[in-house]
Amino acid sequence: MVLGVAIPYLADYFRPQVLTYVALPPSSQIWEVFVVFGVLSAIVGFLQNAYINGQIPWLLGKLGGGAVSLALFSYVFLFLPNTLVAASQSFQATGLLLLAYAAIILSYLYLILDFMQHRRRLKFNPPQDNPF
Amino acid sequence: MEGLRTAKRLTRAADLLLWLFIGLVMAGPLLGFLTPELGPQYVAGFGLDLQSMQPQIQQAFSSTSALSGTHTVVVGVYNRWFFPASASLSLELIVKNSTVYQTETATSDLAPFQTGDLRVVIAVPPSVASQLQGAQVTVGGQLHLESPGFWAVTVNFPQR
Repeated sequence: MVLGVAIPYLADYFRPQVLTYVALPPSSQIWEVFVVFGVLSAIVGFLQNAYINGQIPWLLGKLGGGAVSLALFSYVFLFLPNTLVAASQSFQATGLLLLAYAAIILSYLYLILDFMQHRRRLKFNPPQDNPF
Repeated sequence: MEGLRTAKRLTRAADLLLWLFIGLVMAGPLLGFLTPELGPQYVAGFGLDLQSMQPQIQQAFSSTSALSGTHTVVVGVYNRWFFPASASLSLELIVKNSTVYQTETATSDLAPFQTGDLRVVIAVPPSVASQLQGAQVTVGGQLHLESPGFWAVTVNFPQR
């Protein structure tokens, strides 16, 4: 929720200064997009906190969190016009980007393996309900 | 269960190594940009000694008569990092927002921990030199830095 409210508020507050460097979309569009991101973050945050490692909703929360972050960064970086990186005309990081993708895939592979390990553990030792 | 634990360890180790490698690749140009501020003895990474270019250009363009000869602008390139790198530079003379003369592109390919020079030859033809008389000349150019296979950046200056 903080994400969904604070960022558009700051974007509105500093709009005149930001517009000097970056072309921003209309204020209403920024609010809509960030409220959507805020709600999605709240949902995946809830799934990660309400369930424990080894339960399917926890894994969905983790994977969803990654997808929301990816979408958020993609949206934020769409703001960046060429002028932001001074006189730079082109920047290519194809090889570096492929390495970063491979590293992210490995991170998620680790997450899934960890999930499978906890799931097996849960099968043998199911969580006890808290009587209080 | 033991197999899963081993797979987890291997995945984590491979992931850490990959991020470390990405960090090393990215650190090259960053250090090359930042460390010259600390002094020549601390220079690391991949970069150019662009500060040496300004006085040489000023000397070449100190008077219109000086323009008609051939001048070589030498820019030091250093690659004090683990990956091969390449730099190329061309200069251009701009009058009233249009390019009237452009040099050949000078290129320097450097192996890891190797230094070199970019030698840009300015040989203005007499016909162009006459155009430059009394005009306000801006020196621009194109700089290309590359770490083959990983990243490449092209900078045009001044921005038009």
